[in-house]
Amino acid sequence: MKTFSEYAREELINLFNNHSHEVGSELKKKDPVKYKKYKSTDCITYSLNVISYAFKKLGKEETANKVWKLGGKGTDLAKYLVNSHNWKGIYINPDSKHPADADSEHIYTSYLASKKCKYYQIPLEYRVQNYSVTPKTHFAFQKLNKTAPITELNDIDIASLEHVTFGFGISRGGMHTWVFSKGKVYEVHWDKIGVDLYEATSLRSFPWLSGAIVVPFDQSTHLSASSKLKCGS
Amino acid sequence: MFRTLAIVLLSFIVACSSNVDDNAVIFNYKDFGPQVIANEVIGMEWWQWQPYGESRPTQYGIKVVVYRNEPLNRIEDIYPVIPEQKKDYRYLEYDAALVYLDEKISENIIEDVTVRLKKTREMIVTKLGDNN
Repeated sequence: MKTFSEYAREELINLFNNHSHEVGSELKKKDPVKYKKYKSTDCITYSLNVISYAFKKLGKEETANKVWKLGGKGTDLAKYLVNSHNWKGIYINPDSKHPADADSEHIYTSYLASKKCKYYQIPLEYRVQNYSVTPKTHFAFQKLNKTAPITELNDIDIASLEHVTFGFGISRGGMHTWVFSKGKVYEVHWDKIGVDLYEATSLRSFPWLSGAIVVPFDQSTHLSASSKLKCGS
Repeated sequence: MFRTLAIVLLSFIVACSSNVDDNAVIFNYKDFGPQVIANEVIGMEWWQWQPYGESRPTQYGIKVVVYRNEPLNRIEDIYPVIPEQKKDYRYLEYDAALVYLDEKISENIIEDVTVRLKKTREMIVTKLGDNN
């Protein structure tokens, strides 16, 4: 029997490669007649399809239904997976001092992750950051932290995260949600169809910058000891 | 003649005192800091009529109305939320705004954010008066 993460990856890749029957939800909303035959999808729907599929495969129908009920809000779903299914929360941030978009959101969330072990209301136990540091030549360098030197690259923690088979990801407190597998972010764009509907990007270059990934308990064993947060349980 | 003039003057004073412009001040979302703290008082930084945001990082033109001495429904009428026109207002009562700003300013987590929050507080007090 496969693990939850193996089933989830199986469905994640299946939908990524086979979605000719799907259309982005906003596109369908704009022209429902044109896209009548297509099934509507978007970022959270992709995640819900994958997570509920894996729970169903393990015979957990009730949990799969609960996942859909909570799906309206990505942070609620992440909290549920952590609190009720012992998933582990990982804070992510490519550069905690000099965010590439010069937005203080990323510095602030990094501070709160370290001090309170929370990303919004999602409990955290791990932190993987400073894996794609902003170079001195970048416009955003020292835009917020005017005296801080270039951030020290941490390649160890991200390398350990890249061994994780499955995770559910949240950016900007749920503004965007996605699924994660073996170092890549898999996402859906709700205003697209065809080859542009789904996209896979390395987490190292994912433009949303800070966020959180929640992973099934067994996957947390891949994470390096150095990524463990001190305030995490 | 004097009586008529007095009535006109009184009407003018009453009209001025109920002018919402004197009792409200408009800000950008980011004037209340990054979303991770601002959401405590003004909600999330994406269109309130959408369940979540765009799948690519996007700037939303969300405005915040800080008001005082006016009922909320009057403020909502003057600054309505209109999805078709991408008009998204968040309403924040004066006292709640100052409590939030004072708390975050005193925490002083990021200097750059604190400076902006101080400016926001200053503008609120200048426009709507202080608590004394």
